[in-house]
Amino acid sequence: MPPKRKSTGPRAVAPTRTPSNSQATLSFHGKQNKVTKPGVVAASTKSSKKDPAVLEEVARADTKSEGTPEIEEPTKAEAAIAQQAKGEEAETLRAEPVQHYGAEEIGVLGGRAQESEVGATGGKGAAGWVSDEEAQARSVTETQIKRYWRAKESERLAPRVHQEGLTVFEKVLREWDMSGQYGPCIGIARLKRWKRANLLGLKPPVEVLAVVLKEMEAGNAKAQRAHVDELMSSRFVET
Amino acid sequence: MNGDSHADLLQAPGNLDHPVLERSPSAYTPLPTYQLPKGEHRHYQQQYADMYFARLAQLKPAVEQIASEAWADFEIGGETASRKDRVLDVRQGELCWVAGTVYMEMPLKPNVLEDIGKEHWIAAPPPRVKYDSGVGWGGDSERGAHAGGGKGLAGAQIMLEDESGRLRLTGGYLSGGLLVTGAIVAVVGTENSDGDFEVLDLRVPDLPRQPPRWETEDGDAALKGKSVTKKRDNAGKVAIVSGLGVSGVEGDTLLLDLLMEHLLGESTDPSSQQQAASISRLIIAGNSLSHGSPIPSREELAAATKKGGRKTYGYDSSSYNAAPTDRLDQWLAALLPSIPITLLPGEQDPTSTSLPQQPIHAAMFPHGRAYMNPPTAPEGPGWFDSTTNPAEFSADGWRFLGTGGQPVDDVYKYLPDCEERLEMMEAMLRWRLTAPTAPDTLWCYPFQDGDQFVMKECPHVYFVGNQPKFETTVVEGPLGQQVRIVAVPRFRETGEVVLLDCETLVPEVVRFEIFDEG
Repeated sequence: MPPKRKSTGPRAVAPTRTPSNSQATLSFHGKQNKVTKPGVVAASTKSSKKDPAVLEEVARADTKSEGTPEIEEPTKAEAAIAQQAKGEEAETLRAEPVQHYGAEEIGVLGGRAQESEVGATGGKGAAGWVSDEEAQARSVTETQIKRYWRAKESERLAPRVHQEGLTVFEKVLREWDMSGQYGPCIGIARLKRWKRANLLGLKPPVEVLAVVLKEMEAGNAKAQRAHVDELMSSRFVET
Repeated sequence: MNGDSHADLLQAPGNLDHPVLERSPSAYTPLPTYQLPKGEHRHYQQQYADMYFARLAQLKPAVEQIASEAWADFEIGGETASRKDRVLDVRQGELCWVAGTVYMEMPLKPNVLEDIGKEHWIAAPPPRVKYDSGVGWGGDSERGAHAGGGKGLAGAQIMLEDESGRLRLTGGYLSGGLLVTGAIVAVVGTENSDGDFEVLDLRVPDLPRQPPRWETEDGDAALKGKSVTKKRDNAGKVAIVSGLGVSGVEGDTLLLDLLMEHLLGESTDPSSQQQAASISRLIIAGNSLSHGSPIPSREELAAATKKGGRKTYGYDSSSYNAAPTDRLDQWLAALLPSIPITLLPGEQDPTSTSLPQQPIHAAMFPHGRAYMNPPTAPEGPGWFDSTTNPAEFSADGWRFLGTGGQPVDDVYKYLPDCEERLEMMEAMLRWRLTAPTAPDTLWCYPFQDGDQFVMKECPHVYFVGNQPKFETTVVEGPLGQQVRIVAVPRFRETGEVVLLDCETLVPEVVRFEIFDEG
């Protein structure tokens, strides 16, 4: 074996280059290597006065440079709820009702429609309905919804605070989220939660279903996700 | 062995045709109860609270009906028990009954936060056999919160939980019965001055409805419009084995080959060949490989990093040994032409580690997959059925429910003094839960729509693999249900195979032993 050379041994300490070494050195400190961000006045320039306007600009630039994360792509939780909502929407808006097919139709349609066997509630109704809740919900009028909401509000002694800016629909949906007897509201789309509560026999109010379907038809995608879900899974931690 | 069989073998060749034994046919319908959706439809974003809520919502009606019938006239001191909707509605001094989920707080139960802390600072403690600390129930007056001087040594505490909150349970009644986290029960009693609920009696949902024999096949035939009345031949036997533990070394060859020869009818004399011909199906209930699990244990990980090699994150492909799966595949391929096989994965098999374990993929069996259903037509009974764990299927008309042993082993850890595995299996049937401890100490998929581990229909045969010894009994239900429960021992250690007669549902054991010389 060739004799061990000093330079190939394990180095316990990071090598420090002595000035006698002929190689050029890199320096990451020092005035000429200072990298300043655009918009921030370099602190070393003595000519700048303590101008409040400049200081404000520095402060603003600092907060901006903290980094606003890209909000274009949704989080995984949002994507999961959006997919749930889309799946429910596709099933409810399908024109033909799903029944079990006769022998002739099996050949035409290539087999029975896929019934979701997953979950204890699967298999009962292909789209998650027990009977004609969807038709009932679509026939619910706005006055009925308002009457339902007035009954809910009269259950309380004090009026609700911090809900002045919300529409009746949004208030109905938030009350639906907060009703714990139908299960947790986080991580599940509102329509899916209603269907699950219905299949488990908990008799959720049909007015809530009417509101959810109306919001879905109006194209309001944000209404599928519970408000507390957005708050709890917010990416930005307030300091 | 009588002289006749010898005379059969030691004969001059005759011109009679040898009678060829035919194997009894097996009527088989797999049920997709525990199949999870594939690909992008399987979500892990939801929380386990959904699962507990669904479990309570599904079982609460059943347990409340039983409780209201039992306690309609429950009277103590002139006061009848009233029903409370929510667990927190109980009032002090008032006799009432309420239903909820049991939660057991045990000091030695794995706690994920403690695990993370320990991983960084100290070596992991050895895995516990039982979770309790031996101090006893925390509700006893002498021993309890005051005994250990702190929460950590206090002993187990049992609580009843539902959406409103938790209620601590006390009373001497609790030490008599089996309770684990996740069971849904109804309790009657009263709240005492400490705020604890003193339990006087307890009810469980009990066995669900049991379908009559052949219901699955008749139901399918009726749906398709075929005629339902069919005269069916006498069913044969079903062989259940578990814990083959193929590890690629030479030591496991002989026992496996003995079993294979027996099942194929190649061994011994015509009388036992007759017995082998009556075996219509082989069910392998878990742990076919001894080391196939994809997640390395903590000891393995420590050994890998200590060796001085680079820390391999995840899977080190250079250390893969194909011999065990090869051996298993060859063994199965030798059996498959003759006998249909149902394969359940177990704790050490190469599939998902969380329940319900999905079927072992066909890619693991290059020879055996010729007998599986092709991927274009996955439905229907296959000859070689690689199925889920737990698995539910209908064989010869009887409804079978089987697991690879993980749920029962986990329930075993919760019960301090109980060693009776059959009692635990019976308790799991009466709770209607295949895996009662599932999200708590047993990894499982976060079901959102409904808890798949709730048994909707009572099986006729409930078998659990990888148990220490063979045990069996019959469990009876309130509506006349009868379930045969079988604890299947590990083949690698005991050499025992359970043969279940499908007409009478009585099991018997065939044992393979190798005698060493000296």
